[in-house]
Amino acid sequence: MSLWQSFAISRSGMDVEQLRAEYAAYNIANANAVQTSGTKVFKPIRVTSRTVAPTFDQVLANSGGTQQMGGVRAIVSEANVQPRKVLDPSHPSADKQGYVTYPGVNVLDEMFSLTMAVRAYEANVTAFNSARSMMQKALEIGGRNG
Amino acid sequence: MNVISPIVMTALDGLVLRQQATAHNIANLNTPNYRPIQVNFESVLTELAKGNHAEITQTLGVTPNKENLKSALSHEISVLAETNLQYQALIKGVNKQLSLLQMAISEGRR
Repeated sequence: MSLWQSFAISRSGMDVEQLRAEYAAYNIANANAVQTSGTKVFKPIRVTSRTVAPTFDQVLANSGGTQQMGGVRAIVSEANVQPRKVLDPSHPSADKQGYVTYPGVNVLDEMFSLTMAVRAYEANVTAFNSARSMMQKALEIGGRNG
Repeated sequence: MNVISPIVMTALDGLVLRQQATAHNIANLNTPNYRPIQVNFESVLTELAKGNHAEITQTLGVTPNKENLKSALSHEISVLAETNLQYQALIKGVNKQLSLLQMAISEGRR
C-alpha cells in the first residue's frame, strides 16, 4: 500500500491508451494501402486491454484475501475483417477481374477509438496528478510552515 | 503515548489505498468485463474509536464494487478529488498537532 504503486498503475493506464492511439493512427494511415501482387492486404490492428494479475510476491505480502491492484496491460491483435474490393480496372494494382483490394479499415471506428484513447489518457493523468499532490502534501508533515 | 492518533494514521493509509483503487479503476476504463473496486475503511475507524486495536492490523481491504458494475469516469474522478482533499485536510491536522508539540518543547518561544 503505497503511493508509488499508484503511480505505477496510472502509468500502465497511460501506456495502454498511448498504444491504442498509436495503433488507431497506424490503421488510419494504412486505410488506403492497396494490395499489390505478391503482398498480403493490410489488416487493422486491434488493441484490447486486460487487468494485470498480481505477482506472487504481492499475493504473499497481502494474504488477507483482499483484491490486488496491478494496473492494466494491452493485448495487440490483428482484426479478422474482410478486405474492401473496389471495381477500378484502370488502377495499376487491379486484379484480373478489375477489382482493387483495399484494407477493411473503418475510419469512423478508428477515429472513435482515437478519441476514446485520448480521453482515457487524460483521466489517467488526472489520477497520476492526484497521487502526486497527495505525496507532496505528505512530505510536508512536520515541516516549518505546518 | 501516541503523538498522532492511530485513527488518523489508519485514515491516511485508507485514503492512500482508496486513491490507488480509483487509479486502478481509471486505468481499466476500457478493459472489457472489468469490475470496479472500492475501499471501505471508515468502519475500521469506528472500531478503532471503540478501542479495538488488536484485530485491525489486516482489515484494510479492497473489495469489488457490488453496485457499480460499470466504471463511470465522472464517479471515479469525483472520488479521486474527494480522497485528495480529505488527505490534505488530515495532514493539515497532523501538522497543527505537531506544531503544538513543538511549541511545548520550546516553552512557547518561537
